Amino acid sequence: MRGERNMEKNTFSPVLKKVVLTLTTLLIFLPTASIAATVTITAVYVPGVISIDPLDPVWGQVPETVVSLDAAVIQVIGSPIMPGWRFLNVKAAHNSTDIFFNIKWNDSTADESIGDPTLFADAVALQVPYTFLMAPLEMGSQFQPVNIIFWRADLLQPQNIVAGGASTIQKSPDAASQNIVHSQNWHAGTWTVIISRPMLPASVNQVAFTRGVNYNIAFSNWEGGIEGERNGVKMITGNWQNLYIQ
Amino acid sequence: MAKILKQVRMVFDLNKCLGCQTCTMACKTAWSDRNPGQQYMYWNNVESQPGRGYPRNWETLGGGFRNCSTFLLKSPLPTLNDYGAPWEYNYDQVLKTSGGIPSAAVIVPSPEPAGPDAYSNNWDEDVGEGVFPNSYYFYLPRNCNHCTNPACVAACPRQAIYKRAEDGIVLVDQTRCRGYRHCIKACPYKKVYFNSDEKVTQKCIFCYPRTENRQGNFCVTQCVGRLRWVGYSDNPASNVNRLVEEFRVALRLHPEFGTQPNTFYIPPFSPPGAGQLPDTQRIPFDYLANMFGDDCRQTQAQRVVRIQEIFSIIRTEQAKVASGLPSALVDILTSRSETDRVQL
Repeated sequence: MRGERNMEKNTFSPVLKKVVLTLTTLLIFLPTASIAATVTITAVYVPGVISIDPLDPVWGQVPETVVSLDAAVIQVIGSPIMPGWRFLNVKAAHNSTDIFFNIKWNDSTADESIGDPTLFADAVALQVPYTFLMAPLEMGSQFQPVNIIFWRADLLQPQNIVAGGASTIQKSPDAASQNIVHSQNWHAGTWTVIISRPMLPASVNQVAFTRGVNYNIAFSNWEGGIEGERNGVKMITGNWQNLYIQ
Repeated sequence: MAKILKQVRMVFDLNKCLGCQTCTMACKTAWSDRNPGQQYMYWNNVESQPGRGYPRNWETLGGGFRNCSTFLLKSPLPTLNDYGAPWEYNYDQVLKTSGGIPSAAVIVPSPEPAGPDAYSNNWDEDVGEGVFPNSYYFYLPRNCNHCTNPACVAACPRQAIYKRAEDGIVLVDQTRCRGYRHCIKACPYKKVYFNSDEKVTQKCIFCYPRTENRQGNFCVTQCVGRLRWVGYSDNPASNVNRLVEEFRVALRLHPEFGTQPNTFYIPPFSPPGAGQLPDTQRIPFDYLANMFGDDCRQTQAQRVVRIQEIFSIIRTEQAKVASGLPSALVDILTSRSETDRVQL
């Protein structure tokens, strides 16, 4: 049983152990609010050149949306306790050929290295379903797959990922879909990561971003460090959010 | 996990291990000396015991399954320093007949591990315990045990580690692994390694390109002491199974970890003192029993009895040979040719 396999060392009584096993089997979502918020992020149309430079004046004109990461996924009991909610400040823009996501969040340490077996890097991801059906938030399902853009501080390039349910994520194998460009800056306790890709899909492994269309979108965030967050240990948006491409 | 049709097994006779590290180097040269990020990895290592081992204090870190159950335990991740950061020696200074530095008379590692936290692979070599002339140590070669109940496989949420149905070899799918390292925390033998350059975990592959062709693993064929036997569990006539099942002289390393390892060890008699084999066991039975046993439920006292039984069996067979009688067990332990040791 998957839940059993992921148990951490602890001293639970057999009864409590059983309860925890059951809960972990279901992948525990611990919403810290009873109703997770839904916001609309509008990818505004900006004619001309948009750059991944956070100092590009274009970004001053793009409205910012605060996205609450209000749910903790704890796939491994005993992993670091989440310090409550986290917030992403998200800006989105497009110029009808490329779409840009400017994601900013507080993180007191820049964890960029995995050079020691104990180190994990900071990461952020966004996911969009391929279908307009309400795919499961937990990385879709076999018949409702999702497309994920995964940034991690130690990677040279964000990864284009396809998933059909929890634990199925796979970096898409075709080189064409690994076309995501980015910039990353950590300054004074804040990460700013700007991610961009063409709106037209490079292959079947990418969703198409089309003007005038609403998409479901979800976000995840991992705080790295020594024995830091990875895999199912992360903060996520507890609901699908809305992305509108102007 | 798919039904395992047959299982690879190894037996190591610790009485024959010289600590020469030829197995270590054979493995390293074959599999882990090319790619960045692999320098610190020794899929096969030989450590002196008693000692802290590789990585440091692996025996007490944790992992495996609690009390023979399916309750998976996890340890902290060892640091790179616990494995030992790789170094080079100043051979170019000391061993050059010309152009060297005459004042550099000693071969030293560079960068030299220093300070109270200094450690490296095989750091405790030949240190052992006890007071002369009753000091003792032995060499413990270790590679992945390709366990019947592998904790690494159980820990991976992505099924990136799998156990092959055809031979029970445990492998990491390098394209599925995402470097979460749950496997390292779960493996009580700490035989899965993280490659920080390739961002995935890597481990002993049981030389599967060779074993599939019925060739012995490099660590087996290169073993100077001829102390390694390899074979499949489904062949009762193979020497691995004769040693484990028929003569019952080989035990598992830390079977209490609950993973059912498939490497078996013939426990060591005490090493010679002053050139003579000792009459008494210098390595305490309790020490050996703390390390070796048949299965995860065996008590310490039962393990002591088993080890004494094994020594008795071997001494009896050796006495038969000394008096001119044949002994199938001694024939196997002598392992005259490679075909005695590689039966795949």
